[in-house]
Amino acid sequence: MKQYKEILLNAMELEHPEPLERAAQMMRMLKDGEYLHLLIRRKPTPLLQICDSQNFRYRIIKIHESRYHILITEDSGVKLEDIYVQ
Amino acid sequence: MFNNGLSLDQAPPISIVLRFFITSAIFAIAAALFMMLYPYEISSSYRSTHTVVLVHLLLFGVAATTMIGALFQMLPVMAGVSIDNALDLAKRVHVLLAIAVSTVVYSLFIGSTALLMLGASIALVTVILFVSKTITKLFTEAQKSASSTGMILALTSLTLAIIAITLLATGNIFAQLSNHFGELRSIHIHLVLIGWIFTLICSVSFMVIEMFYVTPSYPKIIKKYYLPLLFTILLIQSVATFASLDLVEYFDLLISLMVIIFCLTTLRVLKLRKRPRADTTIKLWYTALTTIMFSAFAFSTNYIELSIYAFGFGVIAVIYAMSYKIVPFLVWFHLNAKGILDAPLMSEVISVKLAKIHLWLYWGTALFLTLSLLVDPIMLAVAGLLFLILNLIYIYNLYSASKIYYKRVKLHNNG
Repeated sequence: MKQYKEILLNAMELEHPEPLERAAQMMRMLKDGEYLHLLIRRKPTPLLQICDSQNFRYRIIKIHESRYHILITEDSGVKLEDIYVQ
Repeated sequence: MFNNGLSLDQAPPISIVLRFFITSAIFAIAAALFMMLYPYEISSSYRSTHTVVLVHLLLFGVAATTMIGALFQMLPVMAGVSIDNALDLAKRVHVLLAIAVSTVVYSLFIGSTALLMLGASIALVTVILFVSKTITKLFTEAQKSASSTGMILALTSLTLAIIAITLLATGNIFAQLSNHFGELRSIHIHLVLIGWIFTLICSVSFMVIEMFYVTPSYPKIIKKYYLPLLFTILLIQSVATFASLDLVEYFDLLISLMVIIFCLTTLRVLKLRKRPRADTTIKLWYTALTTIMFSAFAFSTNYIELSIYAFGFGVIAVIYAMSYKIVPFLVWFHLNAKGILDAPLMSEVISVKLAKIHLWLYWGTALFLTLSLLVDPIMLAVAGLLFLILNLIYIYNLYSASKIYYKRVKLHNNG
């Protein structure tokens, strides 16, 4: 399986609006083969809307009510469904 | 779950929220001027015409206008609920609401029942228009949560409250209803204060307190049962009131106790937050929760004037706290969604210094409101002056935020 480079942002302890601001900044700096792995307490609906408007793809993995993994990439070569998240 | 087609069209344009918030600030300025002009009349009794006018300016003009404007933003962006043709609906609701508030307030001031009936009817049309477009979406699209359930209950209460006041205004025509004047007024007051305003504050708290301030979760029992129980108590109380059963005071005590429980729970959750930082909005939340709790205590011990002032003051503190989160968020969100890379951080949208001055003026207003009850009613005029200045600052802050947004968009569009 192809290896992609993960850029991790653990926003579990960050106060709003830092998770959104940091994630929006970081996803714009992603290079080919990279994806942003955002660990967050809530589903970040506004960030996902920004992804849609800016042609980023994302995958949402809900662990439980207050723990979400969000994978974001702009590279069509990155298969988000292949990425294993613990 | 992959890209799920969340459309930016679902997110309301920033102009929707700004028009509601600025209109609400204009009603706040009207309330401030009213306090400056009629301090003695307002202080004479909580049932006086002038007090009723002031209460409607604050709770209908300021609170309801802001809350409905905020719902246009919160439903799609936070609850993932889309409102069909949001901009058109917002324009209609905004104009109708502004006319309804102005008509109701003026009719109360001059004592015109016919005009009050007209104002109540416009309010009813406005509420039905808004609620019919949102409540079904909350049932079908929103993820089931304490917040979405609370919003449904709040909107239901608002509708029932406006129906009650429309019947009250019509009561002067139909003799049967006029016999229930006191009962309908009591039902209207309870549904507005607790069913609509307080319930919506609770719903918003469940959603934003944990998210904005990184607090532990509310206890599950509170999230699951609190608002349905409160609504059930209100409904039973309304029926008992209409049937003229002598139980209203017992229900009031129960409701006061529930309000105190919620405020204490939220204060505790906030105290346990993981990254304690004292910005203006968190101080406004503390102010709001403390004063609403105090209001419930004052109400249960029959200090009605004090209770009314404290409740109104607390509610408006929540409104400012939410506005200072919502407006910077919308500026940031819409700029980012347009792909504008140099969008300012949310903390840069509204001047921290001016927000702090706003907060101090607000505390000053509270101090002079209290002094007007304890020392001399003329202190109410001083409170009005401070409230006037803080609302001018508030409008300036909203204007600055919109200027940042439109300037960046213009630069972006010009390449």
